[in-house]
Amino acid sequence: MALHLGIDVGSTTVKVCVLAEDREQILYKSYERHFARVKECVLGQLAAVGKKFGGDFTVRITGSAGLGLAERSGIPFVQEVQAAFKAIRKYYPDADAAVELGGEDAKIIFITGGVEQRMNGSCAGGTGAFIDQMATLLNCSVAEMDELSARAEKVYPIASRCGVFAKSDVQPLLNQGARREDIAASIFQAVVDQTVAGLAQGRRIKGKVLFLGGPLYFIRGLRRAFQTTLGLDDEHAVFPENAPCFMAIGAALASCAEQPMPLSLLQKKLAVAKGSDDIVTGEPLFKDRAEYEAFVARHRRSDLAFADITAYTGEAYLGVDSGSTTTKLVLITPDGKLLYQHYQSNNGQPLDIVLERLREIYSLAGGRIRIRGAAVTGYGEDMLKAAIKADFGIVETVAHFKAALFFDPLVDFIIDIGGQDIKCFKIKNGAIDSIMLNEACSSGCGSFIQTFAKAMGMEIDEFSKLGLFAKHPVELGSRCTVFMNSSVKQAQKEGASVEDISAGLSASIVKNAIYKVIRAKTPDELGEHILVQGGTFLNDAVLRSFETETGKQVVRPGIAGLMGAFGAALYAKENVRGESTLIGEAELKYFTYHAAGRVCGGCTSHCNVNVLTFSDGRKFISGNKCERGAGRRPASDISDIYAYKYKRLLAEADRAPAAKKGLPLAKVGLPLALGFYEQLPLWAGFFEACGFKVVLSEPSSRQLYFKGQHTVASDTVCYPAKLTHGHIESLLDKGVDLIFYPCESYNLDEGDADNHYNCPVVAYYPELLRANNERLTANNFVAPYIDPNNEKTTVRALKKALARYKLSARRIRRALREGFARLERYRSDVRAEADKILHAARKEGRHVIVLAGRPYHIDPEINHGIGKLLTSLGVAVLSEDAVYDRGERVLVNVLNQWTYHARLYRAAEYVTRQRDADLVQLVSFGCGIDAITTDEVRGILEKRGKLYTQIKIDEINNLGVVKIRLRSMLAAVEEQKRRADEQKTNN
Amino acid sequence: MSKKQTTEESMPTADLRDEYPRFTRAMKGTHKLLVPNMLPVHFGIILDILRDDGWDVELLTNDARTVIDEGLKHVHNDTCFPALCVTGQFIDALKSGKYDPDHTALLITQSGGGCRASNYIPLIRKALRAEFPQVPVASLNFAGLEKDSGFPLDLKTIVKLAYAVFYGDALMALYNQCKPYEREAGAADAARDACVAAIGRAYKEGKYRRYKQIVNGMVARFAAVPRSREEKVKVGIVGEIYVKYSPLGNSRLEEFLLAEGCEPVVPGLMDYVMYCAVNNVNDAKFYAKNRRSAFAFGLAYRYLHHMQRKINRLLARGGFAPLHDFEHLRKCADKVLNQGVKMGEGWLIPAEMAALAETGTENIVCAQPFGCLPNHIAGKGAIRTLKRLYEHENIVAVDYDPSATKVNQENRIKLMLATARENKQEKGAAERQAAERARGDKEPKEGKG
Repeated sequence: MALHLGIDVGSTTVKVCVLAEDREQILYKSYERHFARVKECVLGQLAAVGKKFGGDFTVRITGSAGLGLAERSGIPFVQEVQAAFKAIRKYYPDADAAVELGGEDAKIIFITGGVEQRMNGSCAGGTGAFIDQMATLLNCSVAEMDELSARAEKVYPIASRCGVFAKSDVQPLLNQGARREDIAASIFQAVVDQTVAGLAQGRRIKGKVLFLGGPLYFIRGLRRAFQTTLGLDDEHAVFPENAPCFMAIGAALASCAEQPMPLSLLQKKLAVAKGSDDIVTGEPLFKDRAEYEAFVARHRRSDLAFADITAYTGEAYLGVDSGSTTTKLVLITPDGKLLYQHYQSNNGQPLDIVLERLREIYSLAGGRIRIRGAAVTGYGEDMLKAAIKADFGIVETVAHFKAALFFDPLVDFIIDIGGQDIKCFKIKNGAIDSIMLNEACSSGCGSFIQTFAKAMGMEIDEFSKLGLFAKHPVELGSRCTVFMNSSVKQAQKEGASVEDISAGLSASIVKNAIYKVIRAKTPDELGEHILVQGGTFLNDAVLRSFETETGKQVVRPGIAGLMGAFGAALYAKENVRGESTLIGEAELKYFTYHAAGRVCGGCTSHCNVNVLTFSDGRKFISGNKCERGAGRRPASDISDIYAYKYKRLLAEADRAPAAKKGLPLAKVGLPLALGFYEQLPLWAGFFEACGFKVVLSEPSSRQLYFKGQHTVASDTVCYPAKLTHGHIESLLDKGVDLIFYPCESYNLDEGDADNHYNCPVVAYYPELLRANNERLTANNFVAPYIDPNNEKTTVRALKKALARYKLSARRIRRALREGFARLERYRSDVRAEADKILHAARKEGRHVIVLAGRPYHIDPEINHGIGKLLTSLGVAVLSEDAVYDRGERVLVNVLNQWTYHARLYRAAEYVTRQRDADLVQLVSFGCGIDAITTDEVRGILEKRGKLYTQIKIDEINNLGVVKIRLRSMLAAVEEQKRRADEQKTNN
Repeated sequence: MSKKQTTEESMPTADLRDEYPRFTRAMKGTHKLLVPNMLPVHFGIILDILRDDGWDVELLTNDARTVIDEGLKHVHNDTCFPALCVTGQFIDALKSGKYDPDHTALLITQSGGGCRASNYIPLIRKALRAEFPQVPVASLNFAGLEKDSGFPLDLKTIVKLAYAVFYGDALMALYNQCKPYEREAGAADAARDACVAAIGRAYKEGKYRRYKQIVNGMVARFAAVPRSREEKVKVGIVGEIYVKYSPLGNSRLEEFLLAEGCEPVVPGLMDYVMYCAVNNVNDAKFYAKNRRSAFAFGLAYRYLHHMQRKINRLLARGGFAPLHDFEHLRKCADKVLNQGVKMGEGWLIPAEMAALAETGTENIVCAQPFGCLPNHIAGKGAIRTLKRLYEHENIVAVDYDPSATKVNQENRIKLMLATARENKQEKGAAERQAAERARGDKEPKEGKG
């Protein structure tokens, strides 16, 4: 007989366990982080086992990183969920379900009521790696984050389905000064939400539930969040003593049937296992040191002159760039010499950094220097401007452009890779001609290197230098940092060196910028005078990759990381009039602040706002979507057609009193989702004319989304579709007799395109709802297939679907016509309102933005109040469906075959003929069709000399990035207008 | 009922299209046509036919990392993976220097429909514009798309192609049923090559319609492959049409399953063809759309289905599992969702998953590109219903994406396989028990008698 050995090699740790012959007693277990040195770690642990036990072992390997090792060493493998299942059946036969979180995987096993085993999809939200990443962001260890979470007072909504998204939510919270305690708790809650929604997908996790894996064992805050969310008492939530090693135990149990072997043989098999040759590699960055030296010398030419702050006497200008992950500060002389510079990671407290540095500047200056002006730019602009009373707050793009011009007056292309964002601008005729910004998915590339270096126990400089002379840089993919992270881990496990990974990461970031953000097909598209900047370009490996990939020599200023701040200082110099308002030395000495969060009760959005109270009694409020949250009166909704449409549409529901004669036939529920945002008047009109009472689902909200989250079947579908699940729950709770939701392959034919389809999601979502919500039955969910363009077949389909109400074909036909009449009224009202808005805007000389999306983008939970944001920036807002009929029919390159999308093209065509209008395209994350329309809309606009701006929205709630984007665009439009006017007067 | 339509022509129109080279029939003598590798066996047969017709065609087999890199460069990140693979394969081939760009054209199939996949051609043209603006793209479609660059098809060629698809499907089924069990390594592959050659000969001699002779020949050839009797886990592959079949798209899924000791069960391409035909018939039935063409599609469908049944009968008679009968597939679809779900692979996916379960293949890989729109509904969205219908059905949905790691994909498939093996063991045990019980019941009876 033999002992049983189980080895679990996860993405971050190795667990080993030895079971007694009788399989009852656990003789030995260990748990260790492997830092990607998988084989060595396993062998080390086996040596420890060898010291304790003699004789033969049966053995099996499990775990995601064990897969390759098992294959190459010829040791039997067992899939980890299967291993866990074995152990559960042995030790907890009465368990109903198990939740296991690992480094990169999350799993759920349902045991009773139909065995089912599930793993997360390719997006690694809600796992150990995700928690690690968030801890780095908070600049603390996971254990500290756990402690922080215990003192939380509130929970912020954080997008949970992916680390990149969560980061986009967390970073602004940090910048606004939200409490780290609350953020820590919010992160754990996000993990729970992801598990419940993404994994359970409709199956409720109930009964006796086991919680397994490292994170759930070590992090109490996470346990608490799971228990409260699932409503489990201590008896039903089981956290096993041996949770971290559970899979290893399972593997040992699974090994029983294997042939026993002595430990030495096992060790030998592992030791001789070859590394994999699966990794794809590229060319080295530099041939040799000489080539590198020449490269460095060339770039040194773009360094800036310094002036000694301790000796200089005279005037100076201050520029502050409060970026997403770093804060930058410069003080310059009027001729552009650097007196003082500072570049620092925020570590969550940008205001503290600026205050401290400002104090230092004042003390170094010793009264000799007079700061004539100060400007602030970046994410934290508003807050910092208020706190230090800077003279100006300027848009990032303006700051960067100003700085770039200083280095190269002929510059025609600027690319900035910062910690979070990648920004590119094309310059034409001395003005910004187009702006390209990365979308949520590819954000965080810059800081990813930093986070990764930290995880390897290195400083960023040291780590990036390693890549310079790497022999075989690894190919790491470029979709997003979550995927990159997992590619890196795979490469490490397969034996890639730190050098090769460092070089590979640099190349990945550059490829991401060129092919995903700029979307350049050839280097010539970029321009002749390229200026690269942003902290990430200080990394020579990144700079080199960029030059190699584009085949061009570029300018990188020595202050690449400080360009925003430098540009801000230049701006202050050019624009200041009179005394600077900047906080003085004396006042600064006693300046303090206090941060607190609260929920704004101004409207139904219930924004989480942060309130900073400064020591002089002033307050700064952030996190609000409209001015109401900031304690001011909101800009009127009058010039926002999104607000109008939403109100006008809701008014469709309680039009006529239910039935004129007698009781209503039944209560019919219409979900306020997807296609209904346009067709609601049609169906409300139809059902009311048939004698039904129409009930609408409650307005969308984050809470409503959570309500239906458990029935979401695909976690990569767009947010508007996901919200539909909540609307269905809402209608069911309202006790309607039936929910009506037609499937429409075809939308209305507007006669201007090749075809008039709906997108597959809009067309068939009822099928998915029916399949995944147990509360829906053939009786209470009516989803006929109709083509609204054909009356005869629609009447037939409706008659059949509503057969139990015994409506005559004639009555249905009349009701349908009534419905269409109401739809037409709604649409003509929208057009009339557009006229009004346009007229008023032109009278007042305000700019017009056509916010072009889909009808369902009027849902405030989907657009997150972008309409309001725009009106607060002083522009009038129209929508694509309000103006498309003013545009010509457009012949485009692609197959123009979706009704909603054809409107985009026509709206764009209309905008190109308006001097005072621009278009902003609103895109929902995950919208596959917009992958096609965005390029086309951009083409239409740019062909006729207009700027293209795209805003991608998801459940991410934070408008910080969006605001920067819109302000950049408006600034560029302003500038272009100014130039055009100048030219006119000159001629 | 909707407002009176203005006719397209009467509307003021802005033509904002970019220029692109057209594909013309005249290129037959001057251009080489490159074809992306979607189904190696089928496309091999089809290309032979086109060659016999005088076309210079070549099936692309380049699949190095550079293919994906070119794809990433030229295709929007959020566009589906197949578009990226196909575009990448074309550009990579053109860059290889093996082809003269002035005398090369690209050929691609186009189905038309509400899915964004109908836009592959514009995407490829856009990619070409930057580097190979002179290369035209030809569209092989039956929906009347791309009228100025359509690949010329006459009825005779269409019939030839239809037969090729039938033979390809039969060959694929036979191969998959022999390969895992061959006693002598490579025997099944040799049989496949011999069959491809035989089919090629039949076409050359104009005898391609002698399906009985051809199919029987294939059955005989494969029946001669010595096979072991062991029972292997059967794994069905369904999903988006490209990643379902293309080894480039699905990281060589069939090979992976074979290496894992499984028998891959891959539904035929003809199902997709018939699915498209039926959708046209349904459109007329549901919405009174295009009645006239629907009638033609109905006729074509009936003819194809008739052929399919006859071929299936031949396969079954030879001792092999036949392909799904399409009418059965339609009935299966109705159990899960409405046949109105017609975009992308639509109702065909759940129909195949149900039909596989009903024909003894309960383990399924549902392959889809990351973020595939129709698959939200017809793939992932339908799994719940399927599991309710077929208790033991064991489905794993796998996302394919250029940046997803292989380990991540393989680990999920391995989980599905582990469950599959366990189910098989349990089933085996239950059957043995049942058999014993049956024997136990029998004996006393005999004693009495």
